[in-house]
Amino acid sequence: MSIFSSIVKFLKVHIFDHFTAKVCLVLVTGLCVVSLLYNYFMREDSVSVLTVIGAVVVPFQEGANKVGSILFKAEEERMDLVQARERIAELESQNADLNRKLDEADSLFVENEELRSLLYAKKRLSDYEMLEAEVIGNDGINCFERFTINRGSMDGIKPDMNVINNDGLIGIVTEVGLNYSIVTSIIEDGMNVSAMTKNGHENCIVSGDLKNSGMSTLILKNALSEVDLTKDSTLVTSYISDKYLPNLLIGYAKDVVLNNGSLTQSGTVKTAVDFSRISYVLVITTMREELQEVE
Amino acid sequence: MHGIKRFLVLLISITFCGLMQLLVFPSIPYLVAIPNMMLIEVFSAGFLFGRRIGLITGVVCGLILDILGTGTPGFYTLILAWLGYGDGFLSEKMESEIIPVLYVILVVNEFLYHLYVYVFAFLIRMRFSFIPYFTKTVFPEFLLTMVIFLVVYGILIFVSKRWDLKVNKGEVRVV
Repeated sequence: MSIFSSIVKFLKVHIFDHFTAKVCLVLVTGLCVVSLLYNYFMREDSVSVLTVIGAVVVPFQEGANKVGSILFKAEEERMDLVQARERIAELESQNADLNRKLDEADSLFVENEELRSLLYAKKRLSDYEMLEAEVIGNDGINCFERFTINRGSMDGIKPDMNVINNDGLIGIVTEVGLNYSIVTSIIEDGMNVSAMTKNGHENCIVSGDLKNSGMSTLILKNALSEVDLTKDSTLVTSYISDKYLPNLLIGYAKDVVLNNGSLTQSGTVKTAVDFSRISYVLVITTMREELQEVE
Repeated sequence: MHGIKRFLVLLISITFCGLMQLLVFPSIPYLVAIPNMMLIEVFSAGFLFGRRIGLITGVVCGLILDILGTGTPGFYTLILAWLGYGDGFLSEKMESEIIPVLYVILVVNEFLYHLYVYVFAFLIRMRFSFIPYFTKTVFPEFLLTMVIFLVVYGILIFVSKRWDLKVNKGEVRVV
């Protein structure tokens, strides 16, 4: 005991008493400055004291951070989450409501547009008697190559009646049932329409082609080489057909090239009608033969 | 006995301040700045127990900041040690402590601290934008530190008077 206390006394007198505050400050300052300079100049290849201490401290820090997040962050996030969920539910119901209304409005709008355009077409082609019809079935996958309309022989539909809409010629009635009929459109493979340019009355043949199926495009054949199809590209049905009424708009010639021998030219025709969407059509009940009889 | 009590008071207060600065305040949402708890602790220790304890507290707090923060070892230790020593030195020279005077000294402390941080952490890397650093970081911290200081210092003075630990016998007055 006496040895211990004498050691303590010795240490106190000879070592601790020399460590006054001033000495300590100088020591601390020196150590810090050395450490800072060492880190500043030897940064790249030095193993920092902190990396060693960090191995011990970091797990503690992680645990402490977890505690902190449990204390505050979790509560904050929970509040945010509750509010967000309420808001989402509210917005979802509102959204569904609006979507329903929008759908209704959209379908009404489309129907209105189509009926309006039919009305316009009817006025424009007032020479012919017409019957409006609704498309009720479609054989093709996307394009309306053959489709069913809701008028039949009961309504006075006969085969070979022309079918149009506001944009132009769609096709021809090929089969008639009691209350339905089937329309084959001009883009169907093998359909040939005798066409002419609108101003020059130069004849050519426009035919549907399987290759262009689904693209509202027709093949143009047998146009005489004198006809400038780039200037006068609008094609209408010609007078020489026995099925199609004259002056119905078919489409516009494109990509016209001169054939071998420079006698004829060929190309493609972009139809005036968009064959990917047809829902209302007009059937011209005036037949070609009747027209000839009148004439 | 006094030594043990003082040691206990310092240990608990340093732990409390360290936890507050490094853990609690950063996790509080929407807090603009984090009050400089370590500076408050060093300042209080220096003013209550003299320059020696102020120095030791400064070293301990600085080491905590250096180790738990991501800095160079010795960076915060140096400034906090000097501040603790200086505060202790001042308290030994002062007859009485008036809260506004304490505030002035605290502000000077804060200013020296941030000047040091600015010079050796930013200026040395050619970052000259002192005014944004001051308005965005330093000024909110000043205000928060002022408020928190009263609480910490009040508790420490209460405890050390109760246990008769105070070195500077000057009376603490509001004005």
